[in-house]
Amino acid sequence: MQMIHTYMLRCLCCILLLLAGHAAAQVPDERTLLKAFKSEKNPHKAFWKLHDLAVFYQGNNVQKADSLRTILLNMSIHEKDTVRYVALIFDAGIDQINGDMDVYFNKVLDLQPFLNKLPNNGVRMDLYQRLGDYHLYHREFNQADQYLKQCLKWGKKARDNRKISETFRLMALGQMQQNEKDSAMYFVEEAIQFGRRSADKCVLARAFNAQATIYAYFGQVELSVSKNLIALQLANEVGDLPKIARYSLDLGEAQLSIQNYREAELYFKQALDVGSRIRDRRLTALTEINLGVVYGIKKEYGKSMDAQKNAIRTLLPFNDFDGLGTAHNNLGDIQRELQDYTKALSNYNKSLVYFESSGNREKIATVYHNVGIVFEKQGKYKNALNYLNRSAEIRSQFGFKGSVYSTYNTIADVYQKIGNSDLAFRYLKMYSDYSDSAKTLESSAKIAELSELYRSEQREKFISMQADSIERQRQERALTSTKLENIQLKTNMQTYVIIGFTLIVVLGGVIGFYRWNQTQIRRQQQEAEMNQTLLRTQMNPHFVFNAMSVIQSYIYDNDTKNSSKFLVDFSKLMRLILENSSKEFISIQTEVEILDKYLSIQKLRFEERFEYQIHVEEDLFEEGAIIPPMITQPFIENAIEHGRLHLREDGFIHVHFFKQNDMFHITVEDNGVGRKGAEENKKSKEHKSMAMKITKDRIENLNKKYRADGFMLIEDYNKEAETGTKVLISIPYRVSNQSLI
Amino acid sequence: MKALIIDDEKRTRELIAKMIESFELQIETFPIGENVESGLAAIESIQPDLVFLDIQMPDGSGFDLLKMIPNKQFEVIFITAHEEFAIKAIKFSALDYILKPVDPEELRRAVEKAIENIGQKKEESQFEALQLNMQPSQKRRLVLKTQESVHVVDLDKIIRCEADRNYTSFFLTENKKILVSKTLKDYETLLASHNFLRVQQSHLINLDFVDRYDKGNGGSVVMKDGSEVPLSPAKREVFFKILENL
Repeated sequence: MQMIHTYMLRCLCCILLLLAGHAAAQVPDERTLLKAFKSEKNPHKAFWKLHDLAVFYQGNNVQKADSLRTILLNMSIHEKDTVRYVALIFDAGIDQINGDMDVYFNKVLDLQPFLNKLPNNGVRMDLYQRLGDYHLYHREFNQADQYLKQCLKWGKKARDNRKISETFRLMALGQMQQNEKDSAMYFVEEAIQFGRRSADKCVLARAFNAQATIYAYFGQVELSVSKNLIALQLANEVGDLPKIARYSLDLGEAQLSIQNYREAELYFKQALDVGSRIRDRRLTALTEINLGVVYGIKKEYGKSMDAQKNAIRTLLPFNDFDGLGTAHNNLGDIQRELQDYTKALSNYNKSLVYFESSGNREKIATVYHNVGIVFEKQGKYKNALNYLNRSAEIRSQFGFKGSVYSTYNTIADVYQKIGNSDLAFRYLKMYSDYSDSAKTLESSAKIAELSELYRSEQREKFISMQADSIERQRQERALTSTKLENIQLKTNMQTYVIIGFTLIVVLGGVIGFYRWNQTQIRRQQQEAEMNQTLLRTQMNPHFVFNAMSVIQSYIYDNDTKNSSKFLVDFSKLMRLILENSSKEFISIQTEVEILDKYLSIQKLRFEERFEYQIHVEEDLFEEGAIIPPMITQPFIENAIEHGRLHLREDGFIHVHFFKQNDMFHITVEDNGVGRKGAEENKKSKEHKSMAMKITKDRIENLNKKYRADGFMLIEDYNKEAETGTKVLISIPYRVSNQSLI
Repeated sequence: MKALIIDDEKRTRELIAKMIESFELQIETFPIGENVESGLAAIESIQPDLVFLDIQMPDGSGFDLLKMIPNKQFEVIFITAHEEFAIKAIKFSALDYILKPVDPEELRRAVEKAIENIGQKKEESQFEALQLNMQPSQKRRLVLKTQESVHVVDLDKIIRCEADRNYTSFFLTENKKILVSKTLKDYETLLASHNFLRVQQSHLINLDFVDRYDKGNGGSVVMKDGSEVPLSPAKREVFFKILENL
């Protein structure tokens, strides 16, 4: 069975691949999309046409995409939830591109009601993933983990390799932020694996980019660069301009960090070029910030400051606090180089305000460090120490250990300058300890040298590897197609489509039957389980052994008559229960007989401390009414064991069977302490909830099976005094097919 | 000597009273408490030396009743029809109980044991352990009674138990050792569902404290305190299966 399944799946996949290949050949362009939208009269269809256009702009012209989102939102207001959801997601996606993460995440949080409105896997996975991302962003790793695990579960269930890959990618980045290198590497490898399986190059590119990010985070810049090159190559292949820009920027940053300025400048310029082509002003601004840094290093200070200021102007309307903070920090750095300390401090100050708004602790620590250096240069050692210590505190507390050592080093310098060689030595020692643990960073300098030599070689190697894998893929595809040829499913698309559909139908049928079979088995299992619990409540061991104890007491008194009578009654009851409890319905006569036996035994146990009555409407006997066995028993038992009927003179239990509006109604009334009185007692509450649950389940099962609206109602018998209990059970009225005697 | 019997069924109360009287042990019986409320009142007025206490009563459990009495100057024997969970808690706390319907021989043994214990100081710790053992999520405490004292031991402090004829030695963390006059079999049934395994005729070990398995000498288990316990060939399979699932 399993084998056939997988074989069929494989065939299907091949065919679908071919279909997809065909579809991908028709790359949409702006003109046709625009025309399609304008010529569409139906507003519902027009929404989708516009959405297609907007998605196209998302990859080619961010500004135009941005301008379309309000229109899309307005068009979706009166549409179904599915449409509304798509519009909202698109809207949020633009904020994500614009880097306005607070707004983006707020919109994601607002989307949560759709989890109930649109209970399908796609929406669930999508939202769980975004919520996971939200928590990662706020460094709430436990919550993030929960959402991502859920997403992974559903993704695996739906065999959605793209979603699985994306989820693993986020999990990897989460582990990275927690400094868990091994887990991060493991998850990102999984992300790449599933990315490959998904055959979606965008997803695969993202996975490789994440791997690069992780390598960069742990100081393995060279590997980071090589992975990002693969990501960039993949983005190039699919012509995904936003990604090309993004990865170029990342690559530039990596090159910058290993002081490979020429290469860095090259990548930044590429990012700038592509970014402005797709009108992604935020990305271009972020690139400019980095270019500014390169200029600064090349001592072209004027150019550098212009770049930073330009970036600040662009970023202001985006509320991109991180970007603005970085730009101001960089301005400060240049002014510090130029020994213009007042201006430097003012820029650092602005930078701090931005980073505090975005809550970016890593950057806050960096700025503190920079401010400390300025004070040191000015000779204000006390202030310098203050800031440096704060920086060190944040860096060690939040695990940015790679950078903390440089702070310790600077602190040591300051102490040396004020002549406190003791503390200077201590900090130097901490610096050396840390630099041991942060070997990654030490070695990154070596990598910088090495990568000068190996970079070009590596790059060629990886590109050729990539080419190899593309070649392999092509060969595989060629192989599958030749295979298909061999089975004489030749050439034309139509045959493929027909066969594809037949396969889908057959496969769907097989899976459907399998599912149906499964649910059937599950239902039987459930019913069996319920029968078990039922029997257990009706033959409650507590009741059984207590009854036996009563028999023993008669024997001990040599009361043969009563002991024999009680024993016989008890056996009869047991027999009735054993015979009937597994049946779905029994005749009303049998039900009354069981209840009567049960109540009379209980009455004897409790010294005849209460009276009982069972009343059945005559019609029910005549019509041959049938009833689920002992549906009232849990409530009767409850009244006896916990109602404290013995406390009163005239304790009673009344059971009444009657028909009303084509429903079978049963009431159980007692005048015991009632719900309020019994609530003081934990045991009775547990027991009661158990009784309620079993009965509720039984009623629900009947409702499902006979499409009825049965229910259960519990109230006080004496409503003023809040004593006694009245239970009303309403179930579908049914009569036996055979005439009952 | 006075024995009070609290049970919600009058017939059962009287039955136990009659049985006790038939033993002719000079015990005066008072079959008068029928629930927590009247049971408490009866204890107040009669000041019994021995209390038979039903576990499930209409207005609460026998444990609830005990909670309300701070200085228990009497022995307690629980009466129960079928409260599996409660019975386990009672056993863990080294208290006594009888089952309904009542076996006269069992009852006699319980009464005689109670008479022996009367006059000794009552151990609150046993009742405290009982309350704790009644809560399903709490970690359990085992009460070990020796000639001199009553020990209340957390299960995760027990490394292993060793049989010594009709006695059992408990080896605890911090090199403590307690010798109890009960058989290893008694404790095996009690502890089997709490991650203990009888690895050999006279050894019961806490699987949480297994350090390693040595192949020499026909195979032995080394515990974290360094002690070595032989592994019987019959238990090998079970032992390794459990280890795999740890």
